[in-house]
Amino acid sequence: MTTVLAPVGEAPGSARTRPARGGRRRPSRARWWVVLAFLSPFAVGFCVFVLYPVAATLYYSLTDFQAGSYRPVQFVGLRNYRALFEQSDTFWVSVRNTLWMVVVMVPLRTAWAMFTAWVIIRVRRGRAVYRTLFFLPSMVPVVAAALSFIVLLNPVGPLNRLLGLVGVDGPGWFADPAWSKPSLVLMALWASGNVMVIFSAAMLDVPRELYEAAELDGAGTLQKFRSVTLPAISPVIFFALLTGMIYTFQYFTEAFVASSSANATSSSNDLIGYPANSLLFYSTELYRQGFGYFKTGYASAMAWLLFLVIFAATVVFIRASRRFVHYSGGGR
Amino acid sequence: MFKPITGAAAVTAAGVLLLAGCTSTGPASSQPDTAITPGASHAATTVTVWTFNHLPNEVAAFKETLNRLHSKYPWLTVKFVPNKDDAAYAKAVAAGDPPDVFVSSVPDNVAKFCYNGTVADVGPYLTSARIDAAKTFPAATLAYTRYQGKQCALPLLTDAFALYYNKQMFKAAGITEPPRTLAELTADAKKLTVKNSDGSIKTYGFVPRSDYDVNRYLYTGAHSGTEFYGKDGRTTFASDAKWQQLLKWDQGLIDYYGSANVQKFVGRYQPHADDAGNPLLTGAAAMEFDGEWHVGEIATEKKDFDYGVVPMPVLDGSSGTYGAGSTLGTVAYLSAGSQHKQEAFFALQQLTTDTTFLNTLADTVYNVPSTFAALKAWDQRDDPHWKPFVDVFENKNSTYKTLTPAGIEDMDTWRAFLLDYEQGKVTDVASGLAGVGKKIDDLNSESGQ
Repeated sequence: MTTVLAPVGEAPGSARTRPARGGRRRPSRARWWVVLAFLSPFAVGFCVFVLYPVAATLYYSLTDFQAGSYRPVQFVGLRNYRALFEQSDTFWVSVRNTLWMVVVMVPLRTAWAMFTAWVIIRVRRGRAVYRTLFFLPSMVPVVAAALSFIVLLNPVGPLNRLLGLVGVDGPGWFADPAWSKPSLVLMALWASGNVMVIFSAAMLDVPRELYEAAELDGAGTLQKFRSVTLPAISPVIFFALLTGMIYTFQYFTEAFVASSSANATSSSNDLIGYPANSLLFYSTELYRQGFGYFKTGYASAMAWLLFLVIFAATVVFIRASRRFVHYSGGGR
Repeated sequence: MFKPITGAAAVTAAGVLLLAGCTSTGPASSQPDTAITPGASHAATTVTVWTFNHLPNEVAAFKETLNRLHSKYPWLTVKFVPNKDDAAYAKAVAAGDPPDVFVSSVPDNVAKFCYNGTVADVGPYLTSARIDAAKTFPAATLAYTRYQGKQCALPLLTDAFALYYNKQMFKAAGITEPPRTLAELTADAKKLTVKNSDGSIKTYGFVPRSDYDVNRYLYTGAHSGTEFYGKDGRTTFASDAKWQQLLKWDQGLIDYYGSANVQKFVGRYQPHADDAGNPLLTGAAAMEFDGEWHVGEIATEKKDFDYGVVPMPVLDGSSGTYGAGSTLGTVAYLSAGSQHKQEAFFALQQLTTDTTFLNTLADTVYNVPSTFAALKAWDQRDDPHWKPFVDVFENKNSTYKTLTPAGIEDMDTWRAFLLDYEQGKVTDVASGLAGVGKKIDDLNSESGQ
């Protein structure tokens, strides 16, 4: 069921099978215009909403442009990029916090989703119900989910009251710099249903014969998981880790809502990173620089650096994946 | 090869010109025409006013005044847009469509907007309208609305800060007079601290940590006889030993309670600083540094609460400044890019000088009126809870830190340092202060100071 698209100007199955005398027919200019006309909605949208903003941020990153300023914009070369590394303490705080989330949250979320999928596919009755229950949280809008967790994990909220009943003095969660990031991880685990569904589909897709062969060889549950399930679902693990990493490098909404809701003060800058900059992530710092301090050039440099880091990390990860990702049919 | 290269160069040049063209171009001259004569006829004009205010009672107070303005001057229609912040304003300016007047909740960007030409100098408009700023607005408000001699904004209500204390707790602890120095405050705080049987703290005398509620304004210099910026425009953290004294006082109280307990207090009460769960109201704190709006909140949340308000105690050795404090408030800008500056200023003038409006809004949002005339006419000025704030506001030593084109970034840098210090991450206070001072000075040099 593969479809081969014929080049423009050629009727499918005609030009290839019956080449015109004197070589391939060149598409007429009029037909190119028709194609371009059909493409134009996308092309215009792409140019206006993607290409231009991307080019603009690259240009701004090389200037001292400030949003709302009428001062002439000066070209400053790479000064904004140098300033990131040389001057800003908060930049490095945001980098550390973001890396913490990439290193801790992404693997934990992937492992948790894999574990729940593994448990659910073993349930004999009501599997669909359990799968739905685990999946539902991922359908909750991020802001609503964050607000719910703020209430649940309030220092005097329901969870700490429950902990108090068993004699445990609960932590401050989002209000405590030491617990704010783990609280976000908890929220991410709760909302990992979308990844769980992909894992459960992948696990159900593993050929039964492989398990039967492993059983004949005397493999136990754990060994079957390690030697059969894991290699078979490795493309899904790779997908979950890669998309999780890209998402977490740009982590914003959950942290912004958590910071603002745990802080009652009215100034918008106070909300970012609270408590004690423990929830200051790269994207929230970028937001503060761009929309709190109006340093559009500097914020654009941050955006480009983030893009380059994500791009490099993705390339490295894809290359590294060749060692552990197994595709069915022997491909790697 | 020539054609493709010239083609690419042309595309690149066009692209750069396009990108460069998308940054805002300078507005027309901000010199006023002849001032509008209230009684004279005028062409129908619509001006847009944006404000940060968003609560229904605040919006209603604005709308009532603007409707009154329209009835009085039918040629003037004001399109009122609530719930806008400084970021939205900057974006509107960048997009080339700023509101004519913008009311911001804090003055931190006054110097930045002024330096960048975002807002007009209203000085000439005041002159043309025969308004003497010094005779209309108290000096404390002029300090946070001016930059390098330009009147970049006008005050629209103000905030003052003072010490709230629970009278019953003072009485129970045998304290007859509220503290006047920080050393007295510490001694009283210790007397007022009550522990539970399990050793946990039931009542904190006073929590000084800089990220709790509005405590950051304890550390701007107004209560320590210090100035954030010296006469040369540079920070005084390294040169004035009082900053070290102030930080040691802060750390002393935190150490007394224990860092973990203070963290618990801040974590638990920060979201409830302005509601019925406020620690002063619940008995979890005996004293609290807060703004004047808290008087209104207490009246709403716990009417029979027995409390007093006095100026914030000052660092020992700075007794000459007792009675003063940080004062800053809402500011109203006239956009440099406004197409109807004269008419917009007329609306701005009504909002910032109309006594009825100012006092109605002050009673609505629990702020202090910001003109001499409104203060004089304000029926709350002799109320025992409001009077201390009016006194702080009118004190000649009350001020906010000097504003710079760095906007709020200097305060954010200082606050980040304070938090590091309070969490024990700064071991050498002197070099830490020198370091953060240099950082802020560098920030200001880059911003154009």
